[in-house]
Amino acid sequence: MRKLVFAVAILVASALAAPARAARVGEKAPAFTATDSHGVQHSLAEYAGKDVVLEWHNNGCPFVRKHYLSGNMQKLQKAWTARGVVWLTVISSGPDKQGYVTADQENAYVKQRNAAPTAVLLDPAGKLGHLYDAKTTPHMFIIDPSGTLIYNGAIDDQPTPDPDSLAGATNYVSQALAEAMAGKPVSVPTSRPYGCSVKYAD
Amino acid sequence: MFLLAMTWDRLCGCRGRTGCRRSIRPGNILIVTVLATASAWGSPGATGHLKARLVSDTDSVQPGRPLWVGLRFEMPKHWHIYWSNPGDSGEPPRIRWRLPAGFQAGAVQWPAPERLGSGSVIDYGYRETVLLPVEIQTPSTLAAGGRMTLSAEVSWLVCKDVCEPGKADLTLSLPVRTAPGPGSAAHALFQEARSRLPQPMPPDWRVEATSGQDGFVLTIHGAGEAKASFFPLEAGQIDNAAPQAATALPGGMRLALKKSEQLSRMPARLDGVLELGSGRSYALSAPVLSFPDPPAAP
Repeated sequence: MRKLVFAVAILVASALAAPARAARVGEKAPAFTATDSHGVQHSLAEYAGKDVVLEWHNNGCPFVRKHYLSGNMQKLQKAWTARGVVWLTVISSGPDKQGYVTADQENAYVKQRNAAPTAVLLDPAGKLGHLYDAKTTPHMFIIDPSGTLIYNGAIDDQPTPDPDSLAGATNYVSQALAEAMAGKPVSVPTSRPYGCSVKYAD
Repeated sequence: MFLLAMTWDRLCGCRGRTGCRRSIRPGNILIVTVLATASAWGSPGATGHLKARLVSDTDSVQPGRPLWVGLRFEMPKHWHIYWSNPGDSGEPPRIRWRLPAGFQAGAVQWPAPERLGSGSVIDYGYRETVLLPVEIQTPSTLAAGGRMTLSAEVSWLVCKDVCEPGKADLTLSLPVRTAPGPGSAAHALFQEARSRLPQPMPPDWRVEATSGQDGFVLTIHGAGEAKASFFPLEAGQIDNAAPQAATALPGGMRLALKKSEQLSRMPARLDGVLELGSGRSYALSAPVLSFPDPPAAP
């Protein structure tokens, strides 16, 4: 009986929290406006004509730490922003949830980690997260210059927090960007995103 | 706040060297308390939130007879580990067996999971305690009167709101006897775990799934309950967070399952566990038939 009540409660909760429009590969990526850790507003529309990467982030999640403590994420950010890609890190942790950071804390973290995103979007209300239906940290999305979503999924093919997995991993983000920039179809447009759950506000 | 990176081999170093956390209890159970192993990624000084051990259903092994062992996880309240399909986030525990020659481990038998999480991120797993049974085939050439030792390297992700990955080397040592003795101290755990395993689908049931534009409809002829939940075995087929509207049919039921955003190719079958409101669960494999929705009016 308890299980049934629990199951019904989950159904009700998920109906209330259903995303307005999830981001489907091959379709126009949902438009958004969000504020970064320096108080600057960014909208997807202003990046028309560029590739945009959205990287969902939580500094306490072991899967995210795999990429940051090793320097892997920073390397990707530097390499791709140098090629004109707009890289937006997004933090959708609610104010009382794990991974929530103030603008100052995030700026200090970016400096300390030597991260190189174009900007970090602070999304404590979860508006951007729910718009894209971001499930995990990390969860990666790529929007091409025409505004079409061309990738939605995991950062690579190694769903483990083990840093040893980085050697030899297929990085789906780099692969998709390289293929798209060469005018080729994206060979892996979706994959199951792996990581900790995004800690949305209740 | 920001963790020190620790080398991976410090984590794997627990093989009986001094300073290692391993406590041995009499009898057939070797317990490894996971504290330090979480610190490869966790905060220095934080305690791990999971105890893992290998247990056996019997207190001895008979040559040539299958041996049931189990991976027992114990966690504090509100902590959980994941099912073979973890759902939207998380990772299932993994076992790498190191067995003596002639032994062979079967697949993990996964008890029916619970839905975990809330809102738009829904996972599947087990809270607080779970036993994952595994059948081990043993060689008939085992010498009675001796002992045999199995070991396994187990890794997991245990979460509450935060997540802690962990890893441990677990060992189980049992005497080899020609005749079985009484059940082990862990036998009751095995009985409980078996009662939670999904049962084979009753022979008088018929299941099928039809695929529409945005969802599947799973029809089960023979299951006459009003409430049910479907847990997919494969990730990326159905939307884990979407409600599953159930409709009663004469002598059966129907479940509406929203398709996953990750679904890229039509699956031939929907495989998973159907949990009924009564608490019983069944392993289902439904062929997927495609009946596209009629085209929308212009």
